[in-house]
Amino acid sequence: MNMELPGPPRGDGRLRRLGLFLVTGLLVLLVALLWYRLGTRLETPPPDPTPMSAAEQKEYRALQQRAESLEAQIKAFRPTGTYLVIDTGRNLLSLYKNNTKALEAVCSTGSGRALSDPVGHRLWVFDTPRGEFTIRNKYPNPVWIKPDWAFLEEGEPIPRNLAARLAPEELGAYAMDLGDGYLIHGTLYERALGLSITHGCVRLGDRDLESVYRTVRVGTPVYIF
Amino acid sequence: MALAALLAVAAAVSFAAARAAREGASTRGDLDRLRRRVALLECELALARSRKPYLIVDAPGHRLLYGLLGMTVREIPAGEIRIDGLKRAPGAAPAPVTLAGIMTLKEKENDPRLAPLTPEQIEAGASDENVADALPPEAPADFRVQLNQPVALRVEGVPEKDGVFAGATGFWRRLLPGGNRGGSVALRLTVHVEETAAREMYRSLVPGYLLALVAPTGYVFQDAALESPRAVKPGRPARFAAPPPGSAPQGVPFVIPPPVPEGAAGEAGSTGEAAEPASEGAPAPAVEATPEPAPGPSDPRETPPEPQPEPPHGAPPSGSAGMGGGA
Repeated sequence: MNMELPGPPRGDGRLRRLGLFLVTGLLVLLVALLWYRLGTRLETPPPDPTPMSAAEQKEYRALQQRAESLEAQIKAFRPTGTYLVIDTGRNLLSLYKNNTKALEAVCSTGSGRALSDPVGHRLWVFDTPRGEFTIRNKYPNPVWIKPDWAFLEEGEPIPRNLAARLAPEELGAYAMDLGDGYLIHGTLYERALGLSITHGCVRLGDRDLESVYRTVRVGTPVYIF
Repeated sequence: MALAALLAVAAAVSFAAARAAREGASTRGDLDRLRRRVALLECELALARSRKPYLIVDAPGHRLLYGLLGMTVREIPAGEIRIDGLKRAPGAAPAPVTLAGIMTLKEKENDPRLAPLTPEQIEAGASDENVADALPPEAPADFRVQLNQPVALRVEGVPEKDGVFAGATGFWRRLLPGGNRGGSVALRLTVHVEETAAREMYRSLVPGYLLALVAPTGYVFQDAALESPRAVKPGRPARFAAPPPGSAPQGVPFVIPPPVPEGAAGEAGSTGEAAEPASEGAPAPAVEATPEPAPGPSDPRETPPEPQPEPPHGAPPSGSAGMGGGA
């Protein structure tokens, strides 16, 4: 009995060839990328074992003296006594006494976000500034006077009178002024400590805030990085 | 006679070699290492003088060092620091700037400050940090950084948790060359650190941040790739003149953060800008001052939206110290 088997449809062969072509192309691309990455990888050569000449030895001695001098100059910049170091990446505040870490506390620093006021054409950037600061003042029981952005954020109208701006417990039990309106203060939301969520100030938990407040004095350096 | 002279020369050479070995350095390799160390110290001194925080990318040491005023405040181990665009070190003494140099951060990828939120977005719940469900988005673990110099920097966070998906995405991510897209770039720098450390780096790096880079052993940078330490401006110490006793300060100014003109968001909040002291003077005495300031106006640098009917310096209702800063 003769039976004619149905052959494959014409389109299948073309599709198979196209698939094969694509797979081969991808493989070639992958090999090329791997070759690029591995081929351009730096190989650190071994140190040159050739003995130094007399001129090089002279240069070596001069460089040694320069290195010692530079190290001494750099060391002279390092702070001494009591100071604070704030790590904005990890949200950590460290209190140092005589170059020994006396306290490490989880804090919150600026979110880095920006807020624009389309009506007043103003822009605020909520970042904790980096650099060297000093404690300019210390305040017990601070009362926060909410700025315009606080109302804009809450979708509330900016109040006309001062009394409507006062928030007595928002800053916690103590505040330390770093200048330009930036403070180290407490928070009502301790669960958010460790996150970069503030408007530029540095927030601390109640217990750590009290320890820091009682240790630092007006003039204590604060280093923020 | 000739043999004796030869022996004498050989003895002198071996004596010199032994002396150099006693000093701990005898080879050109040691000299090269010291040249790099001095070049880095020159950079670090300039950075310490700037009184701003800085980040040292130590390629030979496979680590990143955060510094401020000459103290290392944090060290991050780096799995790999890949630098494309290096030149083989010449035989002669290379220029110090080709061994180590300084860069300044211009902009980081997807910086939230470049897309300011509007009150409408915030009202819709975009940034109410007091609502647990609306916390700000996590910082990226893989990001590019634009620098003022012709250098492209990419930080790649290596996933700490092993998994099929993380492994596959990490493989493809690392396969593609890092750095900025477009533009003329003399150096492409890719730093592999742990994922958490990469996120922390993203948070800490802001426009204006200073970075120092040391070339790996056997290589030098191109001449115009990095800035010389002399290009860094020295900063002023943050001294603060304490208020004279008896005079009550007029409250903390209402500038958190200071407003900046529209379109200049990339410049605001940069390093050291706010660190400039408002007044230079004698160092603050070590006396605790706890004056009772009166509340200030909403922002002395801004025009109040409407005149305030109340006097700007009235006593706060609780009788406690009034504060203009906050949150």
